[in-house]
Amino acid sequence: MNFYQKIATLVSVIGPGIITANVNNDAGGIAIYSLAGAHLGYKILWSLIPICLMLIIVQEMVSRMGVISGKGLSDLIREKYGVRISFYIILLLVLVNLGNILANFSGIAASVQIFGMSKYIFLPILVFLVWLIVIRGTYKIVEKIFLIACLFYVSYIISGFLAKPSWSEVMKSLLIPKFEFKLPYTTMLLGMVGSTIAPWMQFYLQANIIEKGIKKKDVSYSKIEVILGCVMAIIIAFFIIVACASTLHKEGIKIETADQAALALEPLAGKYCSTLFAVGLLNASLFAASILPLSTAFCLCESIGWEVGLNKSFAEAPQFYSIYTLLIVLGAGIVMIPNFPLIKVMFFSQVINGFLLPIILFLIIFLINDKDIMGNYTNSKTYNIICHVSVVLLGLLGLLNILFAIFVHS
Amino acid sequence: MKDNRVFIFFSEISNCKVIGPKGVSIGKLHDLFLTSEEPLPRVSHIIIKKSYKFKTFYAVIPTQKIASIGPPIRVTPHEIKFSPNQPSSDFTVLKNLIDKQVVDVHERKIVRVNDLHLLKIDNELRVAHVDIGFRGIIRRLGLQKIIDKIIKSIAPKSKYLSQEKFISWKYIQPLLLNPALGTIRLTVPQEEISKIPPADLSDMLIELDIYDRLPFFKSLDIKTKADIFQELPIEIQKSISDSLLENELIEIIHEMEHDKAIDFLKQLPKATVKKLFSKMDPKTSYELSLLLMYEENSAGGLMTTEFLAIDENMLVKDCIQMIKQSSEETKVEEIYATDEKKQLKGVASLRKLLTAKPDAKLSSIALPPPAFVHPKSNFKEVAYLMHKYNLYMIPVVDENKTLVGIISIDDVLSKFVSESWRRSLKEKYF
Repeated sequence: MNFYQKIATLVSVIGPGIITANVNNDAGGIAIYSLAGAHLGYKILWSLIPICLMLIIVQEMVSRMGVISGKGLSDLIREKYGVRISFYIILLLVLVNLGNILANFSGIAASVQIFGMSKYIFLPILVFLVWLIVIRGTYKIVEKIFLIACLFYVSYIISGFLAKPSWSEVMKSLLIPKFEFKLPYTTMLLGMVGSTIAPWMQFYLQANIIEKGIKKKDVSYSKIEVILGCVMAIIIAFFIIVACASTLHKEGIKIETADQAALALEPLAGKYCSTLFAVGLLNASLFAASILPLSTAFCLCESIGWEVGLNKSFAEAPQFYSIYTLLIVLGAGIVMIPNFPLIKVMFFSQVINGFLLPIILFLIIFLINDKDIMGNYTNSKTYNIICHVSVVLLGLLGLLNILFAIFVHS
Repeated sequence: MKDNRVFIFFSEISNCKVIGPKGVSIGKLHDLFLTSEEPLPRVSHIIIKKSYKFKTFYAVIPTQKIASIGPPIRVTPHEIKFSPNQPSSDFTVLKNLIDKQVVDVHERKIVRVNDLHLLKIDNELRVAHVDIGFRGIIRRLGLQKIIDKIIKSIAPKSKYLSQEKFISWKYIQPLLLNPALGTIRLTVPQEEISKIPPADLSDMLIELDIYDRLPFFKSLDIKTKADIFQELPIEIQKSISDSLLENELIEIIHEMEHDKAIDFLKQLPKATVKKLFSKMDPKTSYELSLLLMYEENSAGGLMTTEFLAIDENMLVKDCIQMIKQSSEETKVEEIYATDEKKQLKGVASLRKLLTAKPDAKLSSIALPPPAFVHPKSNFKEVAYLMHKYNLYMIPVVDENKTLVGIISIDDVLSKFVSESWRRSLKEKYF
């Protein structure tokens, strides 16, 4: 194949990797990065590189599994490990996703308020729009909309520059690791890892890969696309941290949520920086709010054996539509309850996240080394060693995450 | 207590204790080997597993040696050999049925098996039903009693409690892969599968995992293959044709309706099409190559050459004979009367032919066609004319009034269904 044919193949597989990685920079993710930048400054930037590598490893395995086996992750888990394990995992996934959905709806509400609009009016409107697009759109159209939404993340890169960071310090912190065993540092680190490599993303990515119908012979192009997506997402995270570190951390401003970050930026870096930050938050929250309830409903119904699919009518797939609508209504409804302990709920979902992540990762590693499923595409020995080490580290971090979340935020 | 029940679930005996001839437990029930016997598969062997020093060992016991199926299961074999290797067979409950997808030919769907409903006669076990219901999952999880209690207290009349979602085995086609041939061993008779409308079969094929799809497709007979292939979306057509041998693909193209074959061939690179044509039956390749010249949205792109054009002087009884002898793809709802120059002179409906005097000439009952189009006419014009004159078929004539093809209503319909309905009916979402 000549050069142009190779580029054409790469373009044809674009979609799943990029969308998945970027959808993970949702309201929850942005909040974590903003908090990390604001509370710890540049110190934590070095961790982005190992996090990026681990993210690439996990996503690459999952996309390879999707292309080679042609089956979804929940199907593979069920066929290999039985209904018991897969059922309980999916149940946990639903709980975690509910927490994520709440985080994103509150992100929409909060960013809408920054622009001076009432959340009680605009949240229902936006949510209804999201519900409408998803129910009425086709996969190709929605994928295109999502890819365009990914471009909006550029607003964070611009914010980062507008915040006028000291680039020499940034580069130093990026390349020289500085680990602190103090509580806020490790919590933040764990939060970043947990929210960057989310379990639900793996199910979503594999399902997307299959939906795209990528052929076995194009598996290396799929790898490139996935890597590109991960790098894109980490770059966005980088700029969010830099923007908050160079402004909020320097002035010692403490924040608790992403929208507070956007507001706090204004006096320090100007109105444009603040607005772009808020726009980025709205975009990310809408984006994730469209995908998460849908993906959750799909996963749950498929694993039970209920009919799924937006191409089916309500009468043909009642449980699927009911669950999807319920998740959206619950999410938006709970967020609008005044004084709801949102942050506590989001931390609780982080706890379950930390519990679920190492389990899913162990399963992925066993599945990817299964010759029945993967044929000749199992992991090489060196890759396996790297994977096992990463997974053990992630597992430890996940467990620590639970402990900290319980003891620090109770 | 002696168990007199006739039916038993696999989830009830799976992992239950197996008691040997000496009255002690020798392991747990792991799997059942099946033989595909008519009408219900019979369990031929049971597989026992036991753990010893962190290793798992397996033993195979034929069903003749089963004394009672409890649970617990009592066996009386002469000798029991445990081996660390998992025994293999090409039809087992765990490998092919439990938690796997199978084809339900009755509801025409792909379903996933949650549990098996087994028939117990003396100590013989047969697979009677496949359980695809939510209740089956709950039973596998061991939560049946609790969930039943909860639902009974909330909604005692709920369907969950009264309607089991069972499918009788005779409607089930498991995906038993024959790796050498790359086909599925069909347990459901081919005639049963052929009764399913091709559009539904193609939907089922789409739902199957990519690597089950091709073997299942290959196990069908050529007529069914062609019928299904016509209905598949183009991406799946391409993915299947990529994996077929050239002569297999040519066979399918021959069997397909011409207009559907053209839709497929148009998506292939020209060099591939040339190669296929060179290996095809010359008459077919000539007809197809003519049709290929026309633009997709024109009358020429919609038309087929599989119709009956009969000389206007032929007798009605001979026309009916020709209809009887024509192939299944030929559209015979309207018969077109032509002259020696193959120009269109008249049209007679099937009903007219059947009710006319057998010795009458075709020209006497054929009426001038109420409408016709040219190969370059736009499909909207075609639709409009067919609507205005209430036609099922409309003839396509060239500048010399020679009859070159006909367009039938289903082809026009498919143009509108794909143009005006934004949501494609066969797209799955995430």
